[in-house]
Amino acid sequence: MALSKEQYKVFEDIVGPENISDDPVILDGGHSGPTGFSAGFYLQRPPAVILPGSTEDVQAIMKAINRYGLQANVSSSGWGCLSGTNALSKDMIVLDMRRMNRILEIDEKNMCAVVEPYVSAGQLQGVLEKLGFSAHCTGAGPTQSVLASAAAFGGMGFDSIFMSYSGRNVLGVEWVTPTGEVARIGSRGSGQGWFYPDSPGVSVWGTLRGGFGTSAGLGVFTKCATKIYPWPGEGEEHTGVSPTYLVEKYPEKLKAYYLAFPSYERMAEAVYKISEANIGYMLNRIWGAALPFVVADSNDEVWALLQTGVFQERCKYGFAFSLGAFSSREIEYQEKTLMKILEETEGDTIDDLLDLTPAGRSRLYYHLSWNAGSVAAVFKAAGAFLAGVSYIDTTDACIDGTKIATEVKKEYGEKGVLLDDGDACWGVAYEGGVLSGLHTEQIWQWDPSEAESVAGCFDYMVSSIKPWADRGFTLFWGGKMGPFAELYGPAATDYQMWLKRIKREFDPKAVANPFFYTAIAAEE
Amino acid sequence: MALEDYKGDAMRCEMCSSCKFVPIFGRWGDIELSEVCPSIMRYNFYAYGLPGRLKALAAFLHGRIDFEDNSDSLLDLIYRCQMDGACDNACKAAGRNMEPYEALLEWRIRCIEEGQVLPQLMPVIEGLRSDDNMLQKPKADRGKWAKGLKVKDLTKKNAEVCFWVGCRYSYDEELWPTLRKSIEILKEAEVDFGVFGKDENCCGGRAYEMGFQGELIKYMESNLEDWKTAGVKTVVTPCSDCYATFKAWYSRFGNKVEVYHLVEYLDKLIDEGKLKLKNKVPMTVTYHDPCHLGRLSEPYTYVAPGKPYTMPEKKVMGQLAWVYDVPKVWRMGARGIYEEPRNILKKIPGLRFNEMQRIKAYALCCGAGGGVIDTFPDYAHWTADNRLKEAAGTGAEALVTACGWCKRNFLDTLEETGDRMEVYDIIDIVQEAL
Repeated sequence: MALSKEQYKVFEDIVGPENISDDPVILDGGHSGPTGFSAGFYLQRPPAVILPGSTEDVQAIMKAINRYGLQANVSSSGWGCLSGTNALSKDMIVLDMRRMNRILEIDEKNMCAVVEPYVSAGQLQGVLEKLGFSAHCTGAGPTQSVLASAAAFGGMGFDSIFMSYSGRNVLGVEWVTPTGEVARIGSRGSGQGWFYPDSPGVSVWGTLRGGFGTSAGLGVFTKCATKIYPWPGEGEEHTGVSPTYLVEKYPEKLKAYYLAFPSYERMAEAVYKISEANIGYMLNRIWGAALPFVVADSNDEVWALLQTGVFQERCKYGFAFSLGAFSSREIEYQEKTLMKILEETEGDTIDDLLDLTPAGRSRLYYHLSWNAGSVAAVFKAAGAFLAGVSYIDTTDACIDGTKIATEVKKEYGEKGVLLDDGDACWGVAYEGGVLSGLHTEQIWQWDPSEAESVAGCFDYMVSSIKPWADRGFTLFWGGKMGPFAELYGPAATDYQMWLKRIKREFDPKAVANPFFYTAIAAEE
Repeated sequence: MALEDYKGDAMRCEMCSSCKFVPIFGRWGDIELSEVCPSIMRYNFYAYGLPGRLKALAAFLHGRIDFEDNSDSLLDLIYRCQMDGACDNACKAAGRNMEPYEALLEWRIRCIEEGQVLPQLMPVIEGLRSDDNMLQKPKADRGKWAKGLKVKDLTKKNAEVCFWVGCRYSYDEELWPTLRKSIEILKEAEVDFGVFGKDENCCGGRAYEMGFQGELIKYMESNLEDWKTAGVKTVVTPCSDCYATFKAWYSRFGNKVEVYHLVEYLDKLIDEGKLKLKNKVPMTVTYHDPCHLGRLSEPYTYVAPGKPYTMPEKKVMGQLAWVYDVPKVWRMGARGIYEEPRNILKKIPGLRFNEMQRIKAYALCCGAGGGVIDTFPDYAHWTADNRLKEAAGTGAEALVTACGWCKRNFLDTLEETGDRMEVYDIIDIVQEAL
């Protein structure tokens, strides 16, 4: 629906004429598709895209949206085709948060950083590194928004073994509710700084964030604090020119490996032992056929490596792993411990395979130290990827799920509609195994420009859910929210009803994007 | 390749936004200096970054937007871009096997083919067609810079080395001292060289980056013929734009030119002991990598003589795309000229050299590229101002570069902003040190 002249003028007066557009060329430049799913499938254009510059702007925009019966979707870094850059209904205005791009504070004493929505994980890490710190980055990689993930989304990453997932990292939050009120959550709400997610009185932390986050379904988060952690990567030196870097000197206290095992069972045993020993800075379960995407430059090189069959054979049951320590004695202890675990589990560090490409070792190091290669790992093969049904459970349960998903996926690989890579699940470990053994997500890659591949993508997504659900897996990620909540809620304390009650309380006119949270009818 | 050949890339871009930032391997450091795309930095709308442009291209190829209804907006989006290649490098550094730069270039070529020309480009291209230069100056004035210099005229005598001046240096009088110094340096090194003077043509590169492919081909053919006639084996130029044109764009059409940027040549002469840097230059400087000397100068690699630089992709393993019968050598931007100017600066006695954050393959553009200096000068100056502030942040008193177009844009911007920063061509600094 196009905005009336009066409506457009109201929004224009809030942000200035240079920060609003309803031009079809601008709107088709990332706000109406084509979605990552589809060969030529477009969503409707939003009525406008608006670039707010402050919390006050966002507040005024949300109030106007309520007044005019419009809807809002929110995009921070705009990562991925399924991100908030698109409009999911004809009345949905897109708020692109790019202008809110500052790191507001780094509180070394309380170990937190305060950021605006457009600050990406790589930007924050780059600034923190100089101070000897780092921050959590999800598997999406360095360009994803810190705030969007921390305040409003799932957020698992390679560093989850050390830093947990985004929901555990968010502290104080500034929130513009769907009706345009500004709420300051946690210690920030009590005027005590940003360092704590709760404050005296009734906690709204669970409402605001919960396990998965509300995406854009419950308003706009304009500032948030996230935990920061010590960084063990000091001392790295490299040679070469982007993108052909080689590490010349590795840091003394950050060591990267790929660990391969003879079976799923041995791999699981190693994860448990690593958790028990409380070692590890990063853990990323990528399988044999996926590893070449990280260590090789081009798909030609990937194909050459995969044709040998050696990665598939030796790395089918394995994961990328790094140790991070904060003293020489600690790294020495960690290395010894890891080697002992490998001995006990018949593990192998596949050094010879990493030397098959000139930059193999460097790439693995960058992958684990800076989340570089995330994009390569998922987008490089075919163009698009999806992370489907996912869960957080014991390592054994995750491996059972992986076997099921791999079996279902096999058929689609053989048909040629998905990348035929012999496995199905990406995984990370949480909190040294305290929260659970692994978090696992189904991953599949397809070509969004090819109709058959797109159809295969949809078909696999649907087909792969049932076998998992039939086995009683605790669904975690996308399986719990949005339209899926209606499917799974009845089997899980009818949680979807609670989501709707919360939504109705905070968003009576249903203006905030319901797609990744829950849909309600707007009150008249 | 036709624009339609890039439809797949336009649709397969998954909007990870890696293209907007310094590749992660380079570290992002200061947040204000972590972005590399001037277009998204200046205009903020998603459409102005590479993912947005590729999505708009997909919409264009799907017929959702077209020149009939959206001409002004499309041209605005397509041309508010310096075509500096930073996004292409960052996209590939993130691990993608796509050719985003090629896609954007082909989109401009399509604009021209369909008669969609930004009005601001018309006088530039008409000037080129009538007087063989990009500055709308009379052809007859092209050789004036050499007045009084005793240099071999390649239209009359043969020489193995052609000193190629380029449009910017030929007509921008403020840059003439640099040219004259270049001549002195080459003479001091006893190089047998000549110039074409008033008969030198445009290289065609800037026009090409505006979408005028026909002009590039015309000048390429003419220049290759002139060099052949004059017995030229090697071309040496102080102009980064010309350098990239000869090395990269001419190679795109299958022609290999033995070309050196003067900075490469100087580095070589210094190494060989033919030039001695002995005078102190007591100054703190930083170095700005011109896009055309750096990432854009990387030539295309052919699978075999006479074969195209790229070929149809195939799929294996179901959906493993971008695989080729003969493995493709991707043009990533790493094989530009980065070390030579730094080598020279580090050898100059008394000179202190501080690096900026955005350097080499992920250097920020000066703002003048892709025709922006002609079409949207305010945007060109905005970009230059951003770069000059980064330079000032290093503690440098002077910014050194190796491109007349960059220098001109920096000087004009400083005049506009009133900020203080010396801007030197590296040739001037070398000459001072000799």
